Amino acid sequence: MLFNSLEFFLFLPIVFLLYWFIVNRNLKLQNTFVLAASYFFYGWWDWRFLSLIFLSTISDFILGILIGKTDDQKIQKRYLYLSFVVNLGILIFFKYFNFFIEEFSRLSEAIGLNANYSTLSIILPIGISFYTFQTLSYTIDVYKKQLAPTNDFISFAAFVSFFPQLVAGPVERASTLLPQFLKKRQFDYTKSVEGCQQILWGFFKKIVIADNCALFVNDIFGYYEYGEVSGLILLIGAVLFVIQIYADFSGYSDIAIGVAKLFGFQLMQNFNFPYHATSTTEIWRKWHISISSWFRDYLNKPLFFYFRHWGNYGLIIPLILTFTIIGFWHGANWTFIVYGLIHGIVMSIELFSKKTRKKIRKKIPKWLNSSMGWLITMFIWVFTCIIFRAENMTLAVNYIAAIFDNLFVLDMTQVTSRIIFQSLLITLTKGKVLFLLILFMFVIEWIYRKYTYGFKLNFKIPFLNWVFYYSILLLIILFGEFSQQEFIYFQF
Amino acid sequence: MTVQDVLGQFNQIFIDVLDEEDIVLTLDSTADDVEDWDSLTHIQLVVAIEKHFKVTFTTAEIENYENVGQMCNGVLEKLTAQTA
Amino acid sequence: MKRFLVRISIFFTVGFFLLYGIGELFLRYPVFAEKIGYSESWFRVYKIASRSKEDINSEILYLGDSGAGQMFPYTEQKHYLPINGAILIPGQYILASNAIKSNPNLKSIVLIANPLSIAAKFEDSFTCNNFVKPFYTKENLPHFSDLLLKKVTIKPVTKFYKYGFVKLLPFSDIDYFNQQPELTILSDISLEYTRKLVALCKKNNINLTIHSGAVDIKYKEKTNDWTEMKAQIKKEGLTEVFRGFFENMKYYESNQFITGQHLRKEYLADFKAYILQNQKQLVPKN
Repeated sequence: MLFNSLEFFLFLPIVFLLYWFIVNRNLKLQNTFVLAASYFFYGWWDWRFLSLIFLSTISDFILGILIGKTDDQKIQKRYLYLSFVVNLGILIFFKYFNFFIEEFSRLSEAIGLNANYSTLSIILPIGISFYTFQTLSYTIDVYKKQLAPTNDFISFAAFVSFFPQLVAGPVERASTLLPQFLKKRQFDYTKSVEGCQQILWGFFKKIVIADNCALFVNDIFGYYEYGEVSGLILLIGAVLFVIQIYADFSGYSDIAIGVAKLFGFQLMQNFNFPYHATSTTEIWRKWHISISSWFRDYLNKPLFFYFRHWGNYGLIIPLILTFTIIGFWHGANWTFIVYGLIHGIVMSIELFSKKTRKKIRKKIPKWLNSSMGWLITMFIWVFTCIIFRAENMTLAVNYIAAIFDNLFVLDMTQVTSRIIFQSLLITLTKGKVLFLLILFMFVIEWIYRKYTYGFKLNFKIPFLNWVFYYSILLLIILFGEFSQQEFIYFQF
Repeated sequence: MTVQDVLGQFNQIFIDVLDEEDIVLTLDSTADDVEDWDSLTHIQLVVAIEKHFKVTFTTAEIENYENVGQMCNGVLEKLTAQTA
Repeated sequence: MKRFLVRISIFFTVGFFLLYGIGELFLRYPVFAEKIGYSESWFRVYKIASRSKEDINSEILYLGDSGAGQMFPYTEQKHYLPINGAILIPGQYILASNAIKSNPNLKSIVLIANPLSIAAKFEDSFTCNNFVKPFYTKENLPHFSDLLLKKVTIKPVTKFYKYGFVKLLPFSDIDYFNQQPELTILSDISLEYTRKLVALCKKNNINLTIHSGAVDIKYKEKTNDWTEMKAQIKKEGLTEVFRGFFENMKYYESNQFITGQHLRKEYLADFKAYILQNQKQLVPKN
């Protein structure tokens, strides 16, 4: 079930009322209800997907108990590895199997072998990259003794499948989310109002900003394959994609966190205004925090530790390795690998230029330093996002080359002669409105940048809050793009 | 050697690694109190401390230290174990 | 909890009335909606259609599909009102009816449309946003025949389309699509509303001409030179209004179109002159 669908619009209030009024007397019953609602929510796409999530749930539940039963570190480690095998096995089979087969046969052909491996037609279950990592965090935390294993299967299964964050995060750590399932939730008026604010803002970002940007982005990126387009338009397309992907994913996270608040749960902040960052390192501390911190804690840190006596290489290797894997996490495509790799390299450069940059910082005014940092960061981000968006590396490289080839050539006749761009021309009014709306989003988020979400209204006069609520509601209804686009991160 | 001695040496290491002259560490300092202390510099600090005191940490030890004081004590314990 | 539920109920109730008001406001003052940049596709059609109620200051009115709109763009002249083929013949009828009412001097109406646009059936994915939402209003209700009304309200929710706020609602698009291929003979509603259009013009003493838009040559073979449609027109007694329609039909090669029924720019001027020439001959001088 998509958040931006009519079904969810009915699902949410029903589940909310049942949750607080019917099943609230008994914690066990309430958790069972959350589990059932979550499985219903997920099964709405395809009930067959439920078997996978169940497999992942039950194996980690048992492995957690087994780890808790023994004191032998070697055996504990073996159980931990088994959990890796199960979760990453599911992930690799469903997400990367065909990619590896294809690359392997290409390689065999290159060295002269007559390769003929057939790929399987596998559908990628939605959210698989998210819940497998959440389940894994449980076993790791139990192994590291940061969390006692639970005997309560219902609560554990509800933790794994909790519908607000099941399909696209935030990927929660077992040590912070699971305990919330084990104790009774209290309805909190202030938190619920905050939740509603966050949901409203999330819908605005998703339906108004992201999906309207998508119209243009899909046109420009799609059109690009057919022939030549002015570099300026391609550049605008890339910038719009950067805005789209932020509004889409942070919008989703806002809705997820807001919905969880309505049910008395606190999820982690997933975006901390990443586009205010003045370095790539900083962006990654503020972008998709739940996954980047997952990789930081469970992959990057151990790698750093392992390579710590290798001098400078001991810093570069783990960084580049981690970010390449983060890139690959997004999907089985070379574009994602290159995207991650470039970020790893940029961050290594930033690491070793720290002292030089500090010297510069002392010599020039603060605003100049941060705006330069921001420009460089955004430049890198925009161009790596082109790679991220493109269907394959050839198209990505061509796209970037075409931007510089004819950056200032804007031949409208060439544009209008193509039908794909006709829709774009019709939506020129839409373009102007969209520009203002994007500006509006960034201004509001700038005002509330000190908070955990960008729309934490707190006017002294309640009436003013309501004026804003209705304005956002009307903007969604009047300017939203309601073709029910899926969230970008569902495919990862 | 006392905890305060170790802390003083820690302070110098922090200043060198983070290239920030005005760091004043206390036993209660955590990563949040020190600007620029992230997972990257964290490991640089660990390496520098290991080098300086000629000790080695395990992953679990590093992860369980919650503040500078615990880390100082950890170093102190290792040093006394070595001399003993 | 109680406070929360009460507030949320108030929020949605007030929201409903606000939306209702805005829906009515947009229908009555489309200029206002346009000013704030509202540009949903149903509303673009509604806005152009609402110009048919204005004084066009001309004796002749041009209606038609989007192909006609290339030559007679509504942005250029007040008496150019071709919108698109998806407003269907009922839409063209309503435009004509409005224009006749507000323009006593009107002498002729020329409908320029590709035969496929004239044949177009109601059951199509474009119908909701191009015909139902812009034309199904309380004001236009008298123009709706029983057959048409039955088609519009085929699903329970679509009954409410006549209210402005439902048109605004994001989830209100209903797909009238069915999987059948495009028609090459007049659909049931095309037939009914062509008759109504003829009667309307006759009653008001107006010359009605239907001229064909540019047609892709591949349809000549596909339809066996429109044998079926010709026979249908004859059988239904509509030969008078379709006089010259097939004789003046002009074919172009597929590559002379940008897409479907839209001619490439370089052929537009010639084709427009051709239509005007033919139309002069068809309209008796009086």
